[in-house]
Amino acid sequence: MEPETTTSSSEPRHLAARARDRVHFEEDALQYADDAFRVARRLTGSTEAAEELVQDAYVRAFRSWEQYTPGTNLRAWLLRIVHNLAVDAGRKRQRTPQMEPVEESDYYLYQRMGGTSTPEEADNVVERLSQGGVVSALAALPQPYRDAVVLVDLADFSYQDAADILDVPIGTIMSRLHRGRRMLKTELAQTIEDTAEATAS
Amino acid sequence: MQAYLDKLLSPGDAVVVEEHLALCSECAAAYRFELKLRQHVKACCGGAADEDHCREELLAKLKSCCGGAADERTSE
Repeated sequence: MEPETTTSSSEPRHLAARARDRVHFEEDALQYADDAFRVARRLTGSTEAAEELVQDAYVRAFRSWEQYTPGTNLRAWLLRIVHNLAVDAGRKRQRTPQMEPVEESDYYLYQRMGGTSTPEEADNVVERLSQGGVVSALAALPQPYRDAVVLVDLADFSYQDAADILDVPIGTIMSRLHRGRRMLKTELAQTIEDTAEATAS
Repeated sequence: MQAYLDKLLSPGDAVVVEEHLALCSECAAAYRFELKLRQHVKACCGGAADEDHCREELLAKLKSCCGGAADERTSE
């Protein structure tokens, strides 16, 4: 038979167990530091901002560790904090509401660029898109679409991972990714036209 | 084609697409363009994947954030 425990002896035991849980939580959470950095870097676009974001996210995670439900996806829980902090920071920078960009077909950009017939030609045409133009085009996408493109196409997360991080169904990720890619191509086509007009005038 | 690029097709369906791409120069060109575009966007917005690792300094900072646990350990 188990010896009867008194309140006075169970309290330190409870505290010790809680401390152990927290140590385990912190050890487990630190294993995902690379993933957190990968998401942060793609969402912020810079190593410095990403490091700051990851640090803020871990401070928040360690502070609210008891809100994490053991046995659930810790990686997704952590990366959701990274994402939410990045969204908050983005909102502070961008006070004006964003217009929904125009969305053309999947092959709009390809068609606007005149098509290509050889691999070399495809390389040349795509490389006409400057880094600044691509970054601006991505930044012009509304947040939900940009997040899907960033996580799946830039950070190589699976649809399921992206759905877990953004806390939406996988079908929503697929739909946002599809529309986000179309919007991005439409924006890129506009960038090329603007550049061509500026050069001509 | 987007599903093929995303590797979402079953092996059987992927073979059908590959056979078509081998025969249809128009679709093959569009495929090459899409593939190249994805690579280019990725390269422009975040750089190389081998830079996606926390530096030691950042890891050390994160470990130092575990102070709350250290406090609790001392109270055990």
